[in-house]
Amino acid sequence: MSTIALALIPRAVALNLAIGAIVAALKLPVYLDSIGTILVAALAGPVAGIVTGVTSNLVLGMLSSPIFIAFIPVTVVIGTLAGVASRVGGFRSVPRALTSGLVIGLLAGATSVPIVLALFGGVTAGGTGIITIALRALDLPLESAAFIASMAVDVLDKMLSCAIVAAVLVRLPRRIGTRFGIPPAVA
Amino acid sequence: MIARLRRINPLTALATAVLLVCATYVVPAPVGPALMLVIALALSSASGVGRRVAILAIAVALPTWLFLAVMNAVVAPEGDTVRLAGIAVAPAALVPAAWIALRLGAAVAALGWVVMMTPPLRLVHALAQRGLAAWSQYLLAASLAAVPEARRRAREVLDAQRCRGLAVGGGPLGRLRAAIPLAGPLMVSLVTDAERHAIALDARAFDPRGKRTSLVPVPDARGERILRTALWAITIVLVAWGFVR
Amino acid sequence: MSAVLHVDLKRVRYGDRVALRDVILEMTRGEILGVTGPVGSGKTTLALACAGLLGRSVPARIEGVMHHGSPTRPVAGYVFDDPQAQLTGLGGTVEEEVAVGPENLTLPRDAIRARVDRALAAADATHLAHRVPDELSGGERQRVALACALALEAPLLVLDEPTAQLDPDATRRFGERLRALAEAGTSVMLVSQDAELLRTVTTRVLVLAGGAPAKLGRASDVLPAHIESRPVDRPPPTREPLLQAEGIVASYADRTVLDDLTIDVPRGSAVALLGENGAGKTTLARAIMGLVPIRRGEITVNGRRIDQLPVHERARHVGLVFQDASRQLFSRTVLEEVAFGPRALGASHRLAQARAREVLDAIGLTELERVHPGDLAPQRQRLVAIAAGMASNPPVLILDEPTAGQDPEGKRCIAAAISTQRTRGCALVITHDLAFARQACDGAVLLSNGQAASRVLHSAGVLHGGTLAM
Repeated sequence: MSTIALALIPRAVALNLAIGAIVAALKLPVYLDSIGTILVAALAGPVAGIVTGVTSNLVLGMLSSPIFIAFIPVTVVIGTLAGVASRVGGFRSVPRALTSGLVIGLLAGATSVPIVLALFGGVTAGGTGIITIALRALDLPLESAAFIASMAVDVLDKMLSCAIVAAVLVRLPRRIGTRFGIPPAVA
Repeated sequence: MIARLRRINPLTALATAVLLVCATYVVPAPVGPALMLVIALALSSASGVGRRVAILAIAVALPTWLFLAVMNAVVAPEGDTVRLAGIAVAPAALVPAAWIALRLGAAVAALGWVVMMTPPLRLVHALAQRGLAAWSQYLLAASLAAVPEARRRAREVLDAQRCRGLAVGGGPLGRLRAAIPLAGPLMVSLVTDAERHAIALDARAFDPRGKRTSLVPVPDARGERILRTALWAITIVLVAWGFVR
Repeated sequence: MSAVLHVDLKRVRYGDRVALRDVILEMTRGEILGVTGPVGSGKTTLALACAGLLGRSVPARIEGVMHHGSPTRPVAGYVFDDPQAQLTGLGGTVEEEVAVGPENLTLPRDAIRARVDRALAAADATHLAHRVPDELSGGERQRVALACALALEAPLLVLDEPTAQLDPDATRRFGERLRALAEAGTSVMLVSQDAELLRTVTTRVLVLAGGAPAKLGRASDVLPAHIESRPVDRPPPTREPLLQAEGIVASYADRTVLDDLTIDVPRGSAVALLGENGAGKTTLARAIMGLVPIRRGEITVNGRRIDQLPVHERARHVGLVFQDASRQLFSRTVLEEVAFGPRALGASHRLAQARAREVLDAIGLTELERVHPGDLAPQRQRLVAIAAGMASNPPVLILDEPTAGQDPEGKRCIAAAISTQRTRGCALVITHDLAFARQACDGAVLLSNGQAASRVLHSAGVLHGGTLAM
């Protein structure tokens, strides 16, 4: 990994943790807390993306709550998929990015379900948990309810994250963009 | 006592916490998790962070138990139900929910003890001393340092764009549209910064693949190293037993 | 005496762009060589090349000879203008941060300790040793950055605009440090836009222009003589009050920053807001804009109270331009960026672009219209931000430290912006740059100690009376 990619990762980790301030100001119903991971994966590939995701959750584990450490596999999935998506042009336009976000969201959601089932009995205290309970009220089996709830939340979150990343990539200064192999945007 | 526990090598504390977490999930409830929770809280209070760790554990365990209770005892009752104020409730479902919450609380308390007692950089330095590569030292340390700066910057971007007339309230579409002027400068400036940070690293002869020495050693007595080996060994045996069982 | 640095560069390129050519240079032990020139003249490229930092994280091709007289590694210590980016974060305290260089050189503990102590002492930062880097002021951080570079104990020190973000007092002290270091035998290359600093500390100055050396000689010979620039002819300010802030009280946590402060700026005028760091200048600007709540007082523009309006509504009346433009630029062209404000306030696309073009033309930035703002130097980015602040036509424009680190061309653009703003309303300019204030402003208000130093001194002539020595 180049020194510049290495120097980028801590900024992206911090972005994952700091974007909440903007989300809160806009009162959006998402977290966007893996937007830095997706950004790095899109710029520097899957390995850098995975490293960003893992570091983010380790730092959250140290600064916020150890629970985040249990969700490291999810960040690995996000980093890998976003890196692969970027290799196949998945951030080249906003519609493409929304598709990438859909795929990332589905698989990230799927990854978090076994963790939530094993550690939390299938329901986490928060928005996802409320959806899970609502689905259980409709007599859906626990596994399916947890699955659908997790995906619903993750898909929206990752689609918006990917769309913002795509919009930001074309806005990167040419000087920096070319450093990461992004062709100069046609102004 | 507080000072002594805080002086132990963070890796010893970490090994202890990992053992407690594993034991929480391997030794059957309620004895296993309850015992581990007691040990974690005892260690925490002996290190002067008892209150904070207890609050952290409760903040995770209690909502989890409540959500599970609502789901498994009320919304989709598991097992025999009794009528309480006209609602069918399955009291038997409350018990497994409690064990899940207890396990979570114990695991969070064990790891919480380590992170609350140890300044994060001390943990990084201790890892560095055991041969953690320069690049991973940098990742952890710089990420921790970058967080307050990024939070400041998020506020600065919010301020700057509001000064230009950007309204952050309004309808859902307007708020969505405001995401780019806000996330844009934050993300672009962080990426642009990476170049300057890379130059700063080069300028200080930083070699990502190299080794580094350290100004401030983290004490690591021989006894502690032996203890740590023992703790890791017990953990492995315990986990293996858990799988076999 | 053998040279510490011998440079004979044919060309330095980034991709296919030649950034620097035909530089022949020798530096001797204990010499302070100044390097100056307009934005984009190749100063930073020269600094990076001499510090041995090109071709690593900054991809560049060097054709020519670059010989460092000593075999030590690394060949130079390097300090730049950004007080935040140059601290690695590997150290939790100042002394641990200073130790990062020697630790990377895998020195034994005793040697690191000795170097850290020497470096902190030489940078006048010993008293900061146990502080947390994140909590330092800009001036303190630059001293720590200097210590970090010194701890490498290289014979050469390369400094790229190290004082661009410091106030005049901190700059003066930084200059004194450099002289002491040079007397002790370190060679210093000092890239700076600050003619005063170059005059007081350097032995020789290299002036770059368009990527090539233009002049090399003693500062007094190669730098333009200090010209007392007189304000250009312009209509005198009116007596009609435009911005009025009366009895403002504002505080952070429990510290009162503005204490019963009163200021008014008449239509058609530009007023400089002077004072030391921490005097409350930026807080006043933020209070007028609504970013800092005021506990008492009234703010009116054109006789209309604005202190109850939310920030984005006040933007119709007041434009505030911050020092660091990177916190607001996000568009793909300068034109779009400048048109964002009017668009956000409801103007049509066409009208917003027309306003943007008008402002860019007035400031002299028309040729940058299609350029990506992020590809401009930070000083030029600030000019774009000023244009963006003016495009929505606010009657009051507040600029925070617009001239810091600017070259003469940049200062001309800012003066043009202020002069245009005077015809549209009024301007309040926070600055440490007295010479610029004399040239571009009609009067000045001096804040001091953040307290009741609220005297309005905006009668013309105050700036020329010389009573505002800082």
